Amino acid sequence: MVLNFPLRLMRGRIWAWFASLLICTLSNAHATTASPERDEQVAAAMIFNFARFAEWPRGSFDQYNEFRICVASNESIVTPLKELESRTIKNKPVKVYLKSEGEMVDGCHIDILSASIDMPAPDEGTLYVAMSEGLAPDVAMLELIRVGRQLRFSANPSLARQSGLKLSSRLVDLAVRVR
Amino acid sequence: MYKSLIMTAFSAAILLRGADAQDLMDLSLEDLLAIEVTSVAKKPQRVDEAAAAVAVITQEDIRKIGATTVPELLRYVPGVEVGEIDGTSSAVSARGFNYRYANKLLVLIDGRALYQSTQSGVLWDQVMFPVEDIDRIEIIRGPGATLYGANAVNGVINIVTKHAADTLGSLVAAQTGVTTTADQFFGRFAARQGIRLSDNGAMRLYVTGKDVPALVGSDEEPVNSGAQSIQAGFRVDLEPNDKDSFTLQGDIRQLDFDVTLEFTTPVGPFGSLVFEDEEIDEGYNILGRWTHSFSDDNQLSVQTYIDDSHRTEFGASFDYTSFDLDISQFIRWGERYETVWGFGYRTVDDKVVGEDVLTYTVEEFYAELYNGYVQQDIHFADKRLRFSLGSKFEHNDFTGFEIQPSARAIWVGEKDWSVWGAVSRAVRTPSRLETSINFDLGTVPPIPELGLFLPLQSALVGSQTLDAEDLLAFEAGWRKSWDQKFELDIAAYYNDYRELVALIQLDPELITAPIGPGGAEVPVTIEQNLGVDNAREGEVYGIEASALWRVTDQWELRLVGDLKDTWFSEVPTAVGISQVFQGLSPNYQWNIRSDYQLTPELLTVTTLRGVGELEGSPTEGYTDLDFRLAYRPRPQMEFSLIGENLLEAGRREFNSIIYPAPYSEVERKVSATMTLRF
Repeated sequence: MVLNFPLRLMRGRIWAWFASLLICTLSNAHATTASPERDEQVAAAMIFNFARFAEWPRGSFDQYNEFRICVASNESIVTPLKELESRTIKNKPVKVYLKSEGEMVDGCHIDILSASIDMPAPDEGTLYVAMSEGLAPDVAMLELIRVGRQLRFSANPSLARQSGLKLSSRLVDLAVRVR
Repeated sequence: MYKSLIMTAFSAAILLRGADAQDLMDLSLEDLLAIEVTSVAKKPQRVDEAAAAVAVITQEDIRKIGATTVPELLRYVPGVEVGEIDGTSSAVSARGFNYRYANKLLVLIDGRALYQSTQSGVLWDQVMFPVEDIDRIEIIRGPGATLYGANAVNGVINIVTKHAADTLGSLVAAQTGVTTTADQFFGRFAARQGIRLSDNGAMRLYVTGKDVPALVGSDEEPVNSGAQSIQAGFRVDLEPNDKDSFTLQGDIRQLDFDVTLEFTTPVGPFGSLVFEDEEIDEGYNILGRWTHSFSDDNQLSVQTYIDDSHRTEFGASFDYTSFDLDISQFIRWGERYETVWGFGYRTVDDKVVGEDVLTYTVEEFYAELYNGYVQQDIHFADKRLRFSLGSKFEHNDFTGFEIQPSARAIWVGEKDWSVWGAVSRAVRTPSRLETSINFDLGTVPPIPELGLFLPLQSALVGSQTLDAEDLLAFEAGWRKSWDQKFELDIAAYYNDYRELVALIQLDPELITAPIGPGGAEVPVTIEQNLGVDNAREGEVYGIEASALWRVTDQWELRLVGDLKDTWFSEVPTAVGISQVFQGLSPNYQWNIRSDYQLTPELLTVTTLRGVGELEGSPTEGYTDLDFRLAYRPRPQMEFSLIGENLLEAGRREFNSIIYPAPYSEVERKVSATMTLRF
């Protein structure tokens, strides 16, 4: 197997162009100018979909006749999440509860973790979703990941299982990283 | 989907107006992942709103089917024909004209064309990247020439790889198996590492390799056609702000393959020649793309790539370097009008050096191709009625200027149905093989009892005066879905071909040489060559259908199939192997696939398929069965058992046509796979 690529590489007359492209690419890699409102709308839609593809332990909906989403009150995702209150998840009307520092909400089916509030001790039957990567690796079962304008997520099905939850294989397949 | 394909250059998502927060809630997770969060107007275009015969192979399909090559995946698409010729070679085409060097189908990987004019087709053994990196495969049956240009005659296959942000983390996949007749072991591995570069970028690196078994001959022994390959590559995606995206990607490959070629002269019962050799194919490609959004309604994309390969085959070496630059822009004008326009420039620098039976009359060739295109979409009736008009204007060094217009229309009904129609013209420009080949077919010794008193020498010679092949295509289709439980998609077409290249018998010539003391010119050989000419007309018409039935939450059934008929004009001077350039195609194909989720951990995928006999050849039709049992003990870990071609110990899928592979059969195979993500 003799590779004679180097000679042929030299023959390419447009390598300077590619070098320019690479330099241009890397030199432009500075901070993102985000569009937060849109970003949070998509994140909320994604969390809505997470609920479709997760299973809660039997009896999780016995205590309250609603699907409880808990989120820190000062997070910008609150507004698009509130729009979910016209919808149902698992045949229960969605209700969004706002958390503030030092104040807990009982019976959250989804608890959205953000940097603005202390991490809770994990509760059985609660799906913890982190708003960013690495925020609460020991608690978050799903983490939103932002790369440039792309919004993705990672999944930790083992952690979910420990809390009696089950993430569907379809959801795990779509995760960019599985822990 | 035309827009989807052209917009691939802009982004993974497609431009449509008006996705508000409530709309977003109605999108599937897959669709949400295709949205760039800061681009307000972006939303995937639905396949059922495309005025073309479109199919999409999704990531989920790829995972379930468990196929490891693109041709294997394409067997699941109606109207696409796939035949395995030998261990490394496949014949792939759409709507007819199938053979090893099928040249009426344009295949792209992330916008990079795979067609090689030196060998007049796509060399599928060069497509080696891991299927795990594929985001989707978009297949358009029918002309796509308005946006893509020459060779997008019968279809376009656009393979879109995943954004680097989709491949963070690690992946390891392996497969090992054995054929059941000749007991040949085969295997494959792939390893991938995704890395986050910053908040705005990601990259992945991969390496993959495989050991491909040979096919077997009629004596059930392997024909010398196995292969070993290795390929490595990368992709970097950076989005430094909400206006610009940059992609840089590349691959480098090495393929060692064994060939046995059996040449038999078509002009007599003599002169068969058998080659057995070890060949190589090596190459690299690198592609860069910059996308800029001036606004939600105005996006510009600049893409360029270089593709370089070196291959030995037929006792010849083929060096091929292409450079391509494409600039395109999407503009939305108010509520009613959308325009895609652009231009492209391409150079091809090749060298073919033959030593034995194959030589090119022009060994080194430099060609330039430039084009411009525009497509205008107009919406009416709240976007339910859409017209699309466009044309490509192209200049190439073989046939000069070519114009390829297209007109399409679609009506999207209120109750999940749509009907569409299209009229298009497309051309295929001659390849280097057709214009420069000189292929020695051997010499027949004198046979006085048959009236042959001199040696008869024969060769297949190309023609520098070939014109482009011309297609006028008429298409129509209808789609309907019923409560997300049942979907039906039907397309019909009539293709009228002119100026088709045919193999013809040239006038015999007496070759003289000076003989004796006086040096008198005396006939010593009769030269009876075969040539090529735009001598044939043809018609291909057919119907294609696909249906999906979600029987239960755990069980899905898919049925795809196509029927077609062909007519080709007689060419008075055509020789016995006249179908060389019109290929070998079945009149029908069908495929039933059942995906059954037995338990959350166990999935079965069963595929029964039938393919008709290849028209005009001794290759019989077949019915066969593939089965896959996948076990997922943990979400990030999957093991599977695969049985392929279970109904027959061996069967022939294709036969030699131009590419002189000896008689060989595809064997039954059993294999085991493992995939880990972490």
